[in-house]
Amino acid sequence: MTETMQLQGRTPQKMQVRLEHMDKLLSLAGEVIITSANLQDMERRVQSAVTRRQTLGPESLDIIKTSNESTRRISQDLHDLVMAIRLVEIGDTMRLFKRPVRDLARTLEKEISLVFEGADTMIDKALAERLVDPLLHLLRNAVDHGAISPIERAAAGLPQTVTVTLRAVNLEHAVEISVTDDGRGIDDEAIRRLAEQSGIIEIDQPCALIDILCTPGFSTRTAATQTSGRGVGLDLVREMVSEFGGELSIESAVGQGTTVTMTIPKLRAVNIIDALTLSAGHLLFALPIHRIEASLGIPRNSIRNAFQKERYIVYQGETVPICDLLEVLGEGTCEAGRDLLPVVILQSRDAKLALIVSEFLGPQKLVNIPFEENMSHAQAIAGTTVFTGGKLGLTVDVDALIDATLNLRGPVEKTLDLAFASAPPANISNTVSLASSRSESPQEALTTELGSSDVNDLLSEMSTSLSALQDILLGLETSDNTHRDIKDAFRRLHGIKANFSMLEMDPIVNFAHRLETVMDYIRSERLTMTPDLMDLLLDSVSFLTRVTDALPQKVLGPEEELSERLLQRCEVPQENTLCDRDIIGRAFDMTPEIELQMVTARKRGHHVFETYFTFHPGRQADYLVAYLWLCRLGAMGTVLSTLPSIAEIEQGQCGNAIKVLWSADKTEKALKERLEEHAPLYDVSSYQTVEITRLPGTTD
Amino acid sequence: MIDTSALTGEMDGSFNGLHVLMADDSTTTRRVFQARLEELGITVTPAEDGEDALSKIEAHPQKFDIIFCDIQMPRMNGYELCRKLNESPWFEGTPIVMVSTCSDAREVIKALKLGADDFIPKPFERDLLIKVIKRVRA
Repeated sequence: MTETMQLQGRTPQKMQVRLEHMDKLLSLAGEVIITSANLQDMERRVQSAVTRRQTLGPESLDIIKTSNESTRRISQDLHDLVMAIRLVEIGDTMRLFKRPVRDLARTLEKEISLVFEGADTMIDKALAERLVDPLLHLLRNAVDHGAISPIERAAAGLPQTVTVTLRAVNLEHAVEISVTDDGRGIDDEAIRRLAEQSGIIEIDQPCALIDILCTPGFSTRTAATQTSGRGVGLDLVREMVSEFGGELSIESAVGQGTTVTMTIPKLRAVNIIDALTLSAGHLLFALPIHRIEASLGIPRNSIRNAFQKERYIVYQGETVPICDLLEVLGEGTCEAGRDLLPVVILQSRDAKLALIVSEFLGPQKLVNIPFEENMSHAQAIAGTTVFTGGKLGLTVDVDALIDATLNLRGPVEKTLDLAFASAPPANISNTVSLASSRSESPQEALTTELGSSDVNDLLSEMSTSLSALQDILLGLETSDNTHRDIKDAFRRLHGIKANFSMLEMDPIVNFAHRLETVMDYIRSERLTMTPDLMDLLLDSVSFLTRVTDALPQKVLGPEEELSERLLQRCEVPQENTLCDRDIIGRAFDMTPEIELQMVTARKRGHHVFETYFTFHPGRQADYLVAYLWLCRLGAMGTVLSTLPSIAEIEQGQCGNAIKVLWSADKTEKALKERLEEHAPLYDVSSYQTVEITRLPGTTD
Repeated sequence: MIDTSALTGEMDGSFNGLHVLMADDSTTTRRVFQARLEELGITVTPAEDGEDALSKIEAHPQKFDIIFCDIQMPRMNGYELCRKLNESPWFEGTPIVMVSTCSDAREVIKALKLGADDFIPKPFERDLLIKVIKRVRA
């Protein structure tokens, strides 16, 4: 899709590479150098033989044989290795859908359980990225379809919770990815009747269910919703899947649910195509072999004329339009003065085309070099390629060629309705459709003292953490142990904030801090979790993910509206949390031991004080500062009792004020100097001391 | 009210000559932390985990003015290092500062009870770092 392509151009993509792969790569590079040295040596031998007019011995042939063998093996190893490096777990892609599915479930007010199977299936990274759009579509269909009203579900004997399963299976030559719902299934007959009524198929015409459902426009007919609502945009899904050579199939049973499966051939090579090479006039072409049904010689007189200039042949009982490759490209004709014409029968998804060429050159493995986008008007040509011997050829986009020649359809409009998918991708950076369209004002590239590998480490750690954080949050709505999960989420967030701080992105650190405060309130039950609050948390995590994904090329600023929403949540509970909420109205917990200590202190001429300390809010938690400050007081005297109690402080239950009962061998005035020396180091903002002169057990 | 101006007045260069050990299993954290400390004129000996730290301290017990250590580390974690150091007769009261993203009160207090003198949450904040160094040396 154009939009995706544009974005790919802007954002360099990254992927993690396992160290062992790098090591192998390095050792292959070493082998290339050795082979190259052998060939250099050989060149010298040949040079010297030519100069001296000598003949070369059999050892020269050995060198060439060995070098040639090495080159072949290294190329194969290199290629296999690169393909292996490109493999990623499909689970990373699967996880992207949690948020959209959750949001949709919320919109529909349904309970939906999204189940992943085969998440560890390895697929090519490029494929993983291109799967996002079609899968999103299928998932939405499944949710829509499975999520018939609870009453209907009950009537159909289905459980209230809709289970949608996203499954990946690794086959020998293909990967199967399917989406299953446990809705009521598709009524095959009803769909056929509908298709017949709407003129999509002839009465009793045999036609696969998937073909009916994939007929463009079929689903938009209002009647479709009556039969199950299936088919929304399925034609687009099939279109997208076919772009990477995949096929779509559907299996459904009334009352049991529906499974839509994508079968995608494993990419054997990146941009390497098995091609049939041929010439047309003076030009060389490469056609992808999997699109060629046959190559044959056709006598000129077997070409028939239909209306006006349109021509066709009968191939295996079927009428197939025929045209001249050079004519299509406006470059003349291949046919001049020949009676037997070389023809390839091309097969696209819905049509065949016979193409007249000048000469077949044979099959070959070629590297396709795609055109830059500004060449995209060259419709039927996918790119260029270098033929054996260094000649330049053109690779043909068979689908585009057939569409253009037969004028099958206008420009394909892919208007995916992805309004519900506002979550940005966690790890995949170029999927436009999942990203929100909000525009943060992009700033300059990241500047940091850290080395680029450190930054990359940090970013990949952050991506992982953010996606884990989102998972935890999404799990909260169904979890039994929310307390543990919230703590876990809090810990993750804290680490993420730490990383933004390392990158010195202060505005984002502040944003994360607000989010952390809100999470803290949820943890301490000062805020109650509601779906709206969950939306806010998820939106905030999505935003942080967007910020991370844009790094290090762009440093995004905070999003004001979201930040404001967080702030509002931060402010509400603060009114209830007076700094000395835990102190007011409470007396020191006086044990006989403490009373004894007080008496002893007084007898030794020491002074007993009651001091009220307040602290500035700082980077260290209140309880920690309070605890450390008490340790410091302990070095100046003896701490007898505190409010909140030591036990409470140790549990983290402490605001920004404490009251301390303590004794020292100095007077208040003498202590003042030491207190004021240390106070700034502990963020003590004020203190008030009263000397206690009465003995315990007596009243004033 | 407490006057904090004295604190901000003498921030830079006042730690020249200090030598600290920094134990953290994350290379990135070590580098960042080291850079922050070096800005303050402090010499840093990095350690990859608790065991590494322990052997480096054991080799020169008097060398370090402060030990900074992460709580979560492979092989020997921060708690264990704290406990080991405080049980060692040759280790004489060098302040230990825990450094962690952990913000759970019980975990932090546990570290303090095991002999740590202070605690710095990650991410590092320069001002807090200065405060903490001053605190543990006061």
